[in-house]
Amino acid sequence: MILTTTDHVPGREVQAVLGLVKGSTVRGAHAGEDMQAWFKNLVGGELEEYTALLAGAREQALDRLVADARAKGADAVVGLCFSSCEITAGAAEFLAYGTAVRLTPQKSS
Amino acid sequence: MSASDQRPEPSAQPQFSETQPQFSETQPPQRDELLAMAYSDQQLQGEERVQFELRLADDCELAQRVAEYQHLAVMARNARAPEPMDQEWARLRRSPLQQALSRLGLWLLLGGMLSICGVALARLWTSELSSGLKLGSAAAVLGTLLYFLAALRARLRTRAYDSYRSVRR
Repeated sequence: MILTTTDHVPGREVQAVLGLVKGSTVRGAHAGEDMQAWFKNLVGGELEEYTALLAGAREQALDRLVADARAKGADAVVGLCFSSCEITAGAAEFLAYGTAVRLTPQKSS
Repeated sequence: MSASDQRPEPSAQPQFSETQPQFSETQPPQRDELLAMAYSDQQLQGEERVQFELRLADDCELAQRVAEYQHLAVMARNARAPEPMDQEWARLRRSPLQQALSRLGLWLLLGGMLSICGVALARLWTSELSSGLKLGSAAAVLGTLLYFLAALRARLRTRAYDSYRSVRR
């Protein structure tokens, strides 16, 4: 499965556009992680707990997008975008979306 | 070529066994294990996928195996050279002083909070308030506790299937 933020894949042509695919998740940190992050926030530096929280949410959203694309019979997702917002304190919502396509090798002109 | 491409593909007509799957680290992979790998890589399609998902709903060991493969896939995707700061964090986490500070702080905090809650409840119970208010307060506290226990139980039961806990960045 090719995932790309561009609209085209070099050397390939879009044979069919299969539609919008998306994957989303909302993940929360547990109270202990929130507390650690709060204390780290007092002294500065990377809040590892929240970095990991966002990274986990990103990977899960991406996996769900890939599953959605596979279910549609796609071999690539183009125009891939990520979107994130805070739905509640200490939680991360991540949405990945793009256009599922089927590709063929580009015909040489 | 990815690792998943090298795995043997399950045949188009699966012969699902009704017995419990036998997974072994030393034996060659059995059919259930190959199916679990294929499912984790989202290579199972159509009827084969539906059949496998029906089995997943009832077979705890099979679901656990799929979760392990998904976990490996996520870890492999995130594998990269550690930053110098990662090494320092790891050193700090191993440090006895750091561990003692964190644990002592956590237990003191939890103990203090529980003590305060206990004393507050005891005061409430022995106060001059009407019994209706006391019962209402006790019900609210008990309800909150039960609700929390339900959420905690659900989390602990599903934690093993969550492949995204170890993603670091």
